[in-house]
Amino acid sequence: MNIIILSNLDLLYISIFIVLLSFVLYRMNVGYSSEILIAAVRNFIQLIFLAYILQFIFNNEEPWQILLISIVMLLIAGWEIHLRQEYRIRRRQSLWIATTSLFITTFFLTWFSLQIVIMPEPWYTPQYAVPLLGILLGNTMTGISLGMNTMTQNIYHHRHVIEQRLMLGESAQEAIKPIRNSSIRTALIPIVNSMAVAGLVSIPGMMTGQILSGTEPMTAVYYQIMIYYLISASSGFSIILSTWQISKSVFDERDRLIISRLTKK
Amino acid sequence: MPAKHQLLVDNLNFSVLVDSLTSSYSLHAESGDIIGISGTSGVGKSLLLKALADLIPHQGNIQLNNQSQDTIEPYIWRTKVMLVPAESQWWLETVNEHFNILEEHTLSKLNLTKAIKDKQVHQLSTGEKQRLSVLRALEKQPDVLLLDEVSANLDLNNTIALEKVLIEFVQEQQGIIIWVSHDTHQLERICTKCYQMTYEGMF
Repeated sequence: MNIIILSNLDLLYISIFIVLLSFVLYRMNVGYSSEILIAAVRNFIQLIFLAYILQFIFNNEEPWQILLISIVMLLIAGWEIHLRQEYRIRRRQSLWIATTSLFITTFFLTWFSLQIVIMPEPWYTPQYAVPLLGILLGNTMTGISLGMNTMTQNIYHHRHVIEQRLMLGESAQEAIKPIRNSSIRTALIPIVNSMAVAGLVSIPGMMTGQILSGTEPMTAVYYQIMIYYLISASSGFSIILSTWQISKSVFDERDRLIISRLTKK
Repeated sequence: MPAKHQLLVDNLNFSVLVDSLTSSYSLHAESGDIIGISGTSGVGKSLLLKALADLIPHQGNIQLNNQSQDTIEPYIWRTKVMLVPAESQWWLETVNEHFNILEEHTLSKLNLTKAIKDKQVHQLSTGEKQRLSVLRALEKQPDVLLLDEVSANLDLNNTIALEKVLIEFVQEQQGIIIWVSHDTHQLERICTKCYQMTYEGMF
C-alpha cells in the first residue's frame, strides 16, 4: 500500500473550515475567534519545524543529538507542568519535582522498551526513540500536572485538618497520607478511563496515524497496546513520585506544616 | 499516681516567623498548675501555644521534665504537649470515628449524651465541637494541655462543667494546663497563675 502524500494545498483546503469556525465565533460574539486562528498558525509552524528537526536527527543517527532533543523535550514538559500549577512550591521546587518525576519514569520506560521489547538496531534508533519518548512525556505530563495541582490545592484547603492531626500526635506523613492518596486517585482517573474505553469510543490517535500510513491494523494495535501500558505505568509512577516529593517538601525537619511554602500563582 | 511533670519555657521568641514580634517569653509550670494567659488580639497568644506544641518555627528553650523539645521526636512531643485549637477540625464522617473509646460517663460530665457519638461531624454545633475536642485531646493522655479559647462558645453552665473536667486533669493526673482566654473572670476563677501577654513580655 502506498502512502498518499498531503501537500500544502491539501492543508489549505482543510484550513478553510478553521477560518469558517473563527468567523462564526466572531459573528456569535463568543470571542475566541482570533485565538483559534493563532493556535492554528502556531500548530502549523511548530509541527513543520519539528519535521525538519526529526528529519535532521533521523538522517544523522548521532547519539548526542538524540540525547539533546530528549533533554530539551523533558525540560519543556517540566516547565509546562510548573506553569499550570495553581499553587507552586517555593524556590522553584515545583519545577524540580515535576522534572525529576518525569525524567525517572519516562526515560527508564523508553530505554526499557527499546532495549528489551522493540530492539531496533542500534537501540537508540531515533525513528523509534524520539516519538516513543515524546508520547510518554506528553501523556505523563498531563498526569503529573493533575496530580500535583490536586495535591497542592488539597494541602492548602485542608491545612487546618493536617495541623489538627499533627496536634493529636500524628507524624507528618501520617497526617498527609489521606490527601496524598486521594490526589493520586484523582490523577489516575483519566488514565484508567482512557485505557478502559480505548477502541470502544474512538480509535486512538497513534493507531489512526499508523493505519493511515499503511500499517496493518493488527500491527498498529500491538503498538497501541504497548503505548497504553507504557503511558499508564509512566503516568502512575510519576504521579506517585511527584506527590510523594510534595508531601516531603511542605513540612520542615520538625514535621511542621509550613504552608507559606505554597505560593498562589 | 502518675509522675509529676514540669514545663520550662526560656526566652521563647517568634521573630523567625513574624518580624514585628521581637519580645521573648519565659514560663515555668508544674503538675497541678493551670496557667492563664490573656492579652490583646494579635499579641501572639496562639503563636505561643503553637510554639509550645512545636507546630511553628521559633527560637528559645522549651523543656518538659528536663528534656529539651528538639531532642524528642516531634510526634511524641505533641502527644505529651497537646494543643487544643480554638477551631477544632474533624475530618472523618462521624464523631465516634475520631475517638478510641468515647464513654458515656465522660460525655455526661460535659452535659453531652451518648447519641452524639453517631452524629455526623457537620451536624455538630460549635459548642459541641469545643467540648468534644477537649475530650479527644484528654483521651491521648498528654502531660501538658494547651487550650486556645476552648470555652469561647459555651454558656456559663457548660463552661463550668468543662472547667471541672480540666481541673480533674491537673489534680488527679498530674497534668499541666496553659489556658489562653479573653475571659479574665474565668482565668481568675481557675488559674493558679495568671499572666498578661504583651508586646514587651509576660507580666
